[in-house]
Amino acid sequence: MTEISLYQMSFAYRHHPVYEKASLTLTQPGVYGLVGPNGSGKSTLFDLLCGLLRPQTGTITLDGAAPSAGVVFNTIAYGQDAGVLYPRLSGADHLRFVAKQHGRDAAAIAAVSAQLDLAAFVAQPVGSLSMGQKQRVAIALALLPQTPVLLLDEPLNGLDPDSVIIIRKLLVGLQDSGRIVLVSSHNLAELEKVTNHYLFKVGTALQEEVVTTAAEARYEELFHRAATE
Amino acid sequence: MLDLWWCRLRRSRLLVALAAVAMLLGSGVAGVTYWRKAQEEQALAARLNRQVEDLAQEVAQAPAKPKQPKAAERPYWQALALKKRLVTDQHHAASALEVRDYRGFTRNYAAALTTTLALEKVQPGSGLALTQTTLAALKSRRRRALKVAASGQTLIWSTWSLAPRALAARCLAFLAWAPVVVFVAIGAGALWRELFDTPAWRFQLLTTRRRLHLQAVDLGVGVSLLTGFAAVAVGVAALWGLVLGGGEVVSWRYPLSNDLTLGHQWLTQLAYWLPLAVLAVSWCQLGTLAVRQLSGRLALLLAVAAAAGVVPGDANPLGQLQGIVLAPARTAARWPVVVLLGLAALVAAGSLWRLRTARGSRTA
Repeated sequence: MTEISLYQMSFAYRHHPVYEKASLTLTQPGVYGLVGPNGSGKSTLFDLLCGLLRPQTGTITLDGAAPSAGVVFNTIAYGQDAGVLYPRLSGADHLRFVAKQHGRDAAAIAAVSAQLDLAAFVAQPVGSLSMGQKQRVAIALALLPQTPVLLLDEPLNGLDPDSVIIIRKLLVGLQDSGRIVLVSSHNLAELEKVTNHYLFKVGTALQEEVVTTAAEARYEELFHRAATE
Repeated sequence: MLDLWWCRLRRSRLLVALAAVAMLLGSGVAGVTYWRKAQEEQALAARLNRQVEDLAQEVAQAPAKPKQPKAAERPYWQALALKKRLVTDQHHAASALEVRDYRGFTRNYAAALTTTLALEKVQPGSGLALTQTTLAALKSRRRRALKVAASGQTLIWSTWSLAPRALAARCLAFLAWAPVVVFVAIGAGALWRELFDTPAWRFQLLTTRRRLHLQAVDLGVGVSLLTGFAAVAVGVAALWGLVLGGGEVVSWRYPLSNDLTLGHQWLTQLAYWLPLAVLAVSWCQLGTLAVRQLSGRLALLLAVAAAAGVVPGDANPLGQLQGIVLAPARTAARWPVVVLLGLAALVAAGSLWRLRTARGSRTA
């Protein structure tokens, strides 16, 4: 069973604190929604988990080990913003590259492509694709490695309805995949259809909650009421 | 690691553009050399012809030589005979130069220098007055001309030669000039942003098992680009040399000076090229750490390139380094090497630190 653990972790950008003594332990597989206002530090958390940023104090461990390059490579797949893709390479080029790095074969590429319905445009240069198509390619790259932890950064952002449906179905399927999946999103209505486990970024801390009522109501309670108080 | 290289290299338009600029640059070097060489040859031929006229007039106005010249007058008559011979040698040298018969020029020029030296021995001051140089320099020139003529080569009169080897060496020396290296590295880096920092760097960091590979690939691809650029430019220059420099014969053992042959200069330039390319690419990478905006980064690196070209020799570490490498017998300060090694260490440290973090656009 995979464990993600943050212990008394603090991180700040040039005197602007993002996390202060935040602690969290995730062991249960499933989909977790990471929710917080814009600029609150959701992507920062993903970068910290991947070792792209280092906390000033505290520890982050993945299965008890620090997130070194090798550990992150074997443990985490990060579905980043589509802007990380090479515009002049095709989706297929990207998939082949990632598959080769992780020792996955053509059948795995085909399965992931089918899951995200990429066939119509996977051979075209990424620069010529729509936002939704690029996002689907980026998510496919994260699905390919089959790692125990999957991070998806705003996968539903700015997507057309077709793409939203495809990704929602994917996320529902990931609930029972045996993986820990963290999904950051502002689209609470879509997140509700997928999970009721949430990580709320409140101030400089992380709050893990199971929300059985409307997530939006809980969001308002946590953030808007806090703002007025 | 080959896949990482492949991701970088799949930019056919960029590669074509770089090759086109390299060909243009190589042709430019050949063109400038051709033009300057023509100018220098014209000037030399004109000077030789003037001297021929003056000497011929002097010889023509001299009285007839008596059958039994007096002992005290013998040096005068010996000098006059040598001047007659010098007229012939110089005339033949100028004529050969005008028709670009470089072998003929080399042979006759060597003969003229021998005659001038003999004249100087017989009538001190007169030979040096003709060549307007010192005795040591005259002897050195003569030794070199005789050595070159004996080996079947032709003289490189000043520094301009269209012989393919010499032209290629000149092109490589131009490319190794620090501002050019930095400028080309900037150009390649600006065109190929993901080489240094963009979101694609983050993608690579997470997709690669060993992140040190990324840094090595970044550096390797940058150096390969620069070296490929130089190879195309030098190759094109050499081709132009084959077309334009047919009359010249220059081997690797051509003596550029008492201590330096053309082959030795080539080897030292090649040895200098690789660390220089690594430094230039590393500077571009360091620029991405120091300055976030691409425009600021370009401005910074242009300033470095300009400084490297404009700062006077003694204070210019790159100029000093090039001088040390290309003329090792020269005594020069070693501190520039220390400065550059220190810079390289700083860059390496900065690059390694960069491996531990990622910078690029963020979405939240």
